[in-house]
Amino acid sequence: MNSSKKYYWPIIIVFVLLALSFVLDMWGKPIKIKQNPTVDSKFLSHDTVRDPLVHGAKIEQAGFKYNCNECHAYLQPPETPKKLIGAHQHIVLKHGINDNCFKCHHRTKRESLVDIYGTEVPFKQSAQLCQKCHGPKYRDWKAGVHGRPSGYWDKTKGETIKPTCAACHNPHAPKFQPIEPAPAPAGNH
Amino acid sequence: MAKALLNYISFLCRCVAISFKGSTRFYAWMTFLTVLTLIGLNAYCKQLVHGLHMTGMTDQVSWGAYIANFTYLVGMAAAAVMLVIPVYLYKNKELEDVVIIGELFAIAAIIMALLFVVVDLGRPDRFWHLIPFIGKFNWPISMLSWDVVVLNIYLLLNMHVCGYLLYMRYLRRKPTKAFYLPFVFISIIWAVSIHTVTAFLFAGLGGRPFWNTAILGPRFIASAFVSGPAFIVLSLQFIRRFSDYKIADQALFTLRKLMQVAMLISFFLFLNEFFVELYTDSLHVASMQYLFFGLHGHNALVPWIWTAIAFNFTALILFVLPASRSIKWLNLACILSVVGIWIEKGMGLIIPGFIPTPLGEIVEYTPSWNEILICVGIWAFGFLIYTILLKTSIPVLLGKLHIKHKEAKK
Amino acid sequence: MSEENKENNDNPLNTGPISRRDFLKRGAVLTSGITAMVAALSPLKQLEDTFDMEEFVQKHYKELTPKEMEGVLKRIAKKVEKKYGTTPNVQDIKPQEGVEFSYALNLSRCIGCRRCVHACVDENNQSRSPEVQYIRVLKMPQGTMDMEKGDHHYNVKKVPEEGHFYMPVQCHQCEKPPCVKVCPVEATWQEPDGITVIDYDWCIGCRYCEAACPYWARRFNFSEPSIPKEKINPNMNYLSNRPRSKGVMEKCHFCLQRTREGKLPACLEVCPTGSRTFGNILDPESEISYILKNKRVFVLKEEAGTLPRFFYYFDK
Repeated sequence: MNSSKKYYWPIIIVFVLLALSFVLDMWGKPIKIKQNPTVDSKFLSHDTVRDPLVHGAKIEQAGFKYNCNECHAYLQPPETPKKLIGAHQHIVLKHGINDNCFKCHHRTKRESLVDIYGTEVPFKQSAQLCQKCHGPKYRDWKAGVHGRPSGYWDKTKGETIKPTCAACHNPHAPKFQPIEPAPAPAGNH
Repeated sequence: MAKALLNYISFLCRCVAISFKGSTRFYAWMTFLTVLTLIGLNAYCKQLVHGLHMTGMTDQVSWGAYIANFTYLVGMAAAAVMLVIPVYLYKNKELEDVVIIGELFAIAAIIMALLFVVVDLGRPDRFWHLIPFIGKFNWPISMLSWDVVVLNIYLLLNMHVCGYLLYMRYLRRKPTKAFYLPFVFISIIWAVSIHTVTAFLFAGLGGRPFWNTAILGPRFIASAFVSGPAFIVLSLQFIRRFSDYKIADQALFTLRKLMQVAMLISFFLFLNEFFVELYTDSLHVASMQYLFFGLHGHNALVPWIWTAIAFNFTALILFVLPASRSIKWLNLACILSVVGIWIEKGMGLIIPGFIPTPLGEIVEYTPSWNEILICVGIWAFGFLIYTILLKTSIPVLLGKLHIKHKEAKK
Repeated sequence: MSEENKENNDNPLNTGPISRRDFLKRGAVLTSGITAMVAALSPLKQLEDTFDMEEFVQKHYKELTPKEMEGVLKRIAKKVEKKYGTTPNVQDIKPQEGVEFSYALNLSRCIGCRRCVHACVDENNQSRSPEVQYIRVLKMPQGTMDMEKGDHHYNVKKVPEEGHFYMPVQCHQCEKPPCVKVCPVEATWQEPDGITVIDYDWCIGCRYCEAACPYWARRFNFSEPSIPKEKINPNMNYLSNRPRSKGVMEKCHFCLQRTREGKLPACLEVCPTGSRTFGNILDPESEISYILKNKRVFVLKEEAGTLPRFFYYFDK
């Protein structure tokens, strides 16, 4: 029994050293949380990609805005559209079988559109024109399942804002270009 | 009545006193275990402060070393029944002396398992939400609620049986059969149920095809019935060496016979699973492929599982061969099966269930240093409890610790 | 050894003739042990939040009286104000009668731009570091629905890429949710309008629901969430986007702070291609009913039997 008493001291030393090691935080590495950058706010924008010109088309030249007829009242409507010079040169036309401007634009009344039967379609109701070829899509859009809705699902509480076709689709070159994706998930370890 | 209470308190005080007295080796062992436990406690405090980010777990692999150890330890606790069945149902004489050792082992294992669950919780301070009637207990639908119930009752069952028998021995009174025999029989069924419920925890999840198999329950029981008795065989030899308790070799060899059968069944079930998964070769096989062969370049678990298979197979051969009738080979077989089944059932079952994730992503898992310290701390604590239980109960069993005559007469 | 046992038998508490040196030595050992234990507990002093007794004893959401709920909401608002500096409007909006939500996603339209992911993070006060995102977009090769072939971490200059389609996955608010089945404390349940919600003050963080979900929709707060102060969305709801603590689960809840007031969820509004549709499936005139009637919809992992309320379709 006497021999076991000698071993009290080692036990005390062990415990005291242990206590010190805890206070000095020697067990285990400090925690490191990966800091992730906040995402660019351009990825959170609700804007549609285009202005659908529902309030009528306007062209901007030399810092002023003009209605279509302010120029086109003085120009003779050509039989077939020629190469664009002087204005509207930025427009690239790549809309399938619509290979000339007058398939959609009225030859004389430039402030409105025209459908295949020659009926005038105001810019405000441009969807009526798109509908003439894109029937199923139009029906889906009318039902609310095509397009970019915002606002309310519950019509009794508020309205669902349904942008028109031209708000997203460029009528001259409707095919969507690929866009930049937001960052991938970062993972935490 | 008061006298009975006083006797009991004096019994407990003497038990406490005995836990603190022993040889040098005993002090060294207990100090070692205490140091490890305190390191684990310190690591856990850090986890409480910083959250489970201190572990290696992620949203993809959301259960790791803690649940792995929990599963393994529930199996060990269930294996105590492997001693109870021969002695109480078949009146086996060889194991009579060691039944109580097995049940004490079950108590330590269950405490460890419960601690592993507690350290795994994100909000352990909300533990009271689990208490029936006080919190909101989703029984009987949630398998985890079943687990909580059966594990705690199993702990109480074993504590009662051991406590009662030991105390009666201390009082030098014959134990009344009605006070312990029904509980012993209940504990036999209960031991199988705790591990089956733990298996159902995993097997009931349709979103995890690696676990969603009927063979999981039988595999759990079979592997538990090897690793548990293996551990008991090893600890019996320690008891034989460091105390005066006489344990005949026959007890060890009876356990060997039980382990032979259990290991054969366990390995057979494993081969079944292996065949079904690989022959079918469907998309559901992905987790198994990850575990055994690696998947898309990720193969962290492959060396582990093949080591485990090698260990288990070697242990199987050793158990079956007459060579293991010598203690040396039996010990080797036991060590191999304890480690092999720990790998297979712990890491080899929990982690592959999460890889690949239900969305096909592969994120591998390595336990963090802090996590390992907590696991080591809990194991050390379990050994501490087991040592204390043995240190106090062996003198009682040997008749060296008993009530003083004048106390008994009154 | 036998001398020791004799001492045991005579003296139950072993307090007999014990020398002062012996007693002091034992006392020193005990003290050093206790010192080590107290030192082991020392990291606890870094625990930031003081213990909130009210939050500790707070009852389950379903058992709170309206008055208690008011007190809870006030307490949450106060905490948010203290931590983030903004005065939030924390509400508890109850589900509407006759409403069951459903969601549809047009896989032909999704270009994988991940704006939905980040709009959701913004709207719902999710942690930025560590990162919590409810929506995960998979880039899949055309011709297969095997999600193992999906790429979660594509990082290209422009999307969509040729030969691939993109599939965002979030909580499907299943009709037979496995996560609700397995929660041991009923911290997650399904509301009458179909949304599976979580009571963040009841969850114990066992992560069983995360293991149970076949769509990997649930997220766990492995550490205290960190949200930049200027990014806090002050329109909060008890069951949805109020800031969570560490150690609890969270997941997509169909923006119920918006949708229960009739608005569209954040992921839908930000989608530049309009791939998403949301609404009340019990209303035969709603957009979502139109899709379910007219488009060829399917669900993920139908064999899991979860009956999701999230439908996918291809519709060029």
